[in-house]
Parts: sequence; C-alpha cells; structure tokens
Amino acid sequence: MFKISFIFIFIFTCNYPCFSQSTKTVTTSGTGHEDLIIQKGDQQSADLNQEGERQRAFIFQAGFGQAANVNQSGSSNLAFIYQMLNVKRDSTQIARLTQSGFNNFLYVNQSELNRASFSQNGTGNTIFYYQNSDSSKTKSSKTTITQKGDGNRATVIQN
Amino acid sequence: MKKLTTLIAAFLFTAGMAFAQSNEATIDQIGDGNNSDIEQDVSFSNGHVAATVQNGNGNQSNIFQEQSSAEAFVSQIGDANISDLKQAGYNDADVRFIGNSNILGSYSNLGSGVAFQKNGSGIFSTGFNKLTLRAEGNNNLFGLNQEGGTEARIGVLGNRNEVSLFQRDDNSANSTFARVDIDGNRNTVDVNQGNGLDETDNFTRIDIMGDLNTSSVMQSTSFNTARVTVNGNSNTSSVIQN
Repeated sequence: MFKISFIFIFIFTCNYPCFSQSTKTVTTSGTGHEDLIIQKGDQQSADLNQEGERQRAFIFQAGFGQAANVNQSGSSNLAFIYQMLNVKRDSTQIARLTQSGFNNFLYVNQSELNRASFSQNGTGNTIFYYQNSDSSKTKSSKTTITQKGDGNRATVIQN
Repeated sequence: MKKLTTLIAAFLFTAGMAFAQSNEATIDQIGDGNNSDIEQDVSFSNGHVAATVQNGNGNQSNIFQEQSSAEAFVSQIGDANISDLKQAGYNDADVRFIGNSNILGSYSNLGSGVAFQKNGSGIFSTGFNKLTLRAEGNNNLFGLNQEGGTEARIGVLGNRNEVSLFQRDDNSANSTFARVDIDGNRNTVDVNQGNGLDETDNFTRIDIMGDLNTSSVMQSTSFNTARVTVNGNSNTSSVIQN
C-alpha cells in the first residue's frame, strides 16, 4: 500500500479577498504521495516538490496574481493545476512545472492573463494545456513547453 | 475520495470564468516519436503565435489556427516527421525541414499531413495567406492548399522530393503568387492556380537546378504569368494557361 500524505487547504466559505499573499510550500519524498493545495486569495504561491514515483499533485487557485510551482522527480507522476478567477478582472496567474522520469502526466487549465512554463525530461510523458478566453477581455497568454526524450506528447488548446 | 471529489467540485463551482486572447504557444521537443498539438481558435481574436520545434525522428506536429493575423512556425529536424497545419483568415506560416522522408501535406493526397490556409469568415474573408517553406533532404512530400490572396515561397535542396501547390482566390482585389526553387535531382513540382470565383493575376516562378526533374504549371482565368527556368539535363516542364 502506498503511503499517502494529504495536504489539504480549503477555504470553504471564504469570499475574495482572503488569505492574500500567502505561500504554501510542500516537499514530499517516497512513493504514492498525493498532495492537494487549494488557494482562493490574492498573490498566493503554491510550491510543491515531490521526490519519488507514482505521486499526484492537485493545485486549485482562484485569485489574483497567483503562482503554482511544481517539481516532480521520478516516474509515473501526475500533476493537475487548475487556475481560474472567481471575479472577472485583470489578473496574472503563473504555472510552472518540471517533471523528470518516465510516463509523467500534466494537466493544466487556465483562464485570464496567464504565463505557463512546463519542462519534462524522460520518455512517455504527456502535457495537456487548456486555456479559456472571452471577448470581454483583451489580454494575452504565453505558454512554453520543453520536452526531452522519446514518445512524449504536448497538447495546447487556447480558445 | 468521495469527499475530495465533492470539495473539488464545490471549489470549481464557486470560481467564475475569466478570459484572454492573443495567445502564444511554444513547444520544443527533443527525441523520437514525439507529438505536438497546438490549437488556437478564438473566433473574436487575432494575432496568435504558435511555434513548434522538433529534433528527432518520427515526430508529428499539428497546428490549428483561426481567425486572422496568426503566425505559425514549425521546424522539424530529422527523418520521417509529419507537419499538419491549418489556418483560417489571413495568416503566415513558416515551415522548415531538415531530413528525409518528411511530410507537409495536402493537395494531391500527399501522405497524411494537412497544410491548408483557407479564407476566414466575415471581415477576414478577403485576407492574404502566406507560406514560406525551406527544406533540405531527400524523398520529402510537400503539399499546400491556399485560399484568399495567396503567397507561397518554397525552397528545396535534395533529391526525389515532391512539391504540390494549389492556390485559389475568390476576391478580384487579391492575387496568387508562387515561387519555387529546386536544387537537386528527380524532383517533382506541381503548381495549380486560378480556381477562384473572381480570380485574376496568377503568378508562378519556378527555378530548377539539377537533372531529371519535372515541373508543371496550370493557370486558369486571365492575367496569368508563368516563368520557368531549368538548368540541368533530362528535365521536363509544362505550362498550361487556359
């Protein structure tokens, strides 16, 4: 059985803004870890370092000027980053991820003015990046993906 | 797990949607058998940039862009790579190949690739599509289907390559332009222009240096210009204007 460490921050009833300018840093090692970080305030940062295999990272952010930084070393890891706003206004959200090893998977869903940078080293890795847009805004986004290895797949959908 | 799912769903439900446009995506892949997909299809927006660089063998790049003023850049270095490209509106594409048995496809069923620059809709329907292709290698297949005002500039260095270009223009204010430079042997060039609804001013220039190459130009409607220059032995050229 995998050891499961579960970091759980959920502002269930918090309305924007709340818990602004906070940083959550999590470092795990071993196999089978599962970490969940949820942030709804402004200027928040989620820094997650997972060392090992078969690890899972879930980050949900819905605030102004947020950043998610994920580092996963090992194989068969999964990272899920979901960044979206609970109010329509200018914002910048940043997602950065580094995965090394084999058969890693990354899913990122962003909206608004975003910056995303993803790096995967190894074989059989997958990145799926999805971004939403709306005619009411005139913002732009920038996504950079680097994959080194064989049999990797990167998908970017911006609409 | 049920509790986790419920809480995630609650979080997503309370978060509103927010938005962006003029997107830029860059994918850099080093290795074999990689796959890259970029889709930018914001119907109200323009100015998207998609760039894919693949270094290895057996890689595939797919780029899909709508509406207008989009730019696509594809560079594939290696063998047996495939580049699929579809743009709508007035767009630019720059495609580079270094290697053998690569495919940029469309028109004349060139492999499984799709290279298609089509008219946009509404105010973008009279735009100008432009493609630049540079390739070094052998046994490559390059095909392009362009609509609107069109411009294709193709340069190929190598042997046994095949270039097929289909251009049509449905607006009399625009024109079609094709420039193909071939340096090598046993290559084939096919340019077909003038199939639009209100089309004139088709222009084709082909320069070939090498032996046993074949070129053909087909131009319909009026005000057509074809200029073919061949330097080598046992080459075959044909120009049909009707």
